[in-house]
Amino acid sequence: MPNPTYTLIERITLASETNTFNFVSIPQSYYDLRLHISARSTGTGGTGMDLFFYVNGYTTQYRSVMVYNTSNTAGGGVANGLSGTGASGTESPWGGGVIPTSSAIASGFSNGMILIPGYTNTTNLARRSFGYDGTYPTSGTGMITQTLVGTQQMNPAAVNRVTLTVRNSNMVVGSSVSLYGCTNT
Amino acid sequence: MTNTEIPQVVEVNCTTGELVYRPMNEQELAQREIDNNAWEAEQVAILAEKERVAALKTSARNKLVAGEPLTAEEASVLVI
Repeated sequence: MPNPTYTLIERITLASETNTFNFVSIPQSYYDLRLHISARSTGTGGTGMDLFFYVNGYTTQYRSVMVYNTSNTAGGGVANGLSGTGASGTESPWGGGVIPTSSAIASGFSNGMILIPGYTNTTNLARRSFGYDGTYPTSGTGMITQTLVGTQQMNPAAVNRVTLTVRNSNMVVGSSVSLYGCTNT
Repeated sequence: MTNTEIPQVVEVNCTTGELVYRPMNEQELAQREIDNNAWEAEQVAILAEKERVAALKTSARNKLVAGEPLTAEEASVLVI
């Protein structure tokens, strides 16, 4: 797309602790969808908490691969995590990335986005693909975790609904998710 | 969040702009349980796979040093 222009469709900023964001009746008039996720979990324990991401309310037939980097040294970072949900035979929809918990650095929020290219296209399409790219602060200055997730859903119907839900916790007040539509103008 | 609290959902209609907060319904609660269980099973599977590959690599290295033949599975973790 040579001239992408993003238009804010809706933004939800939490006024109370909430587990799940739902965007429904999404207009079918754009080329791509993009979600920006600024969120923090009420969970404890580790510094990160997984997000599950659904399209159209489908709860099965997802294949995700996650890679993440952790580092506290500039220029460092090693790939120390690899998760293939398809490879292990499970098909739950965790393509939504990871957000910081209450055990991460105080007041830190995730900075991530999900891109759903060609979300209305169904021509010659066997699967619906989308990806997460984001970071979140962990426990000190400059310490972040980067997460990349690639997901395919086996039903390529046009996307009119997206859902983000956090595992085993809530998202704190002030967490926000913004849904953008992309046109070529 | 305790186990007795019902998680909350926020939903926006992108056509009308209507925004509502509501408790999870039974279907959503059931799906939440399924996803959490699947996630935990996934973590166990990932750890087991890492340990399996690490053990194969250790065994393969020891056999190479000793000049012993590798199994096909051991060779597969050393050769692409």
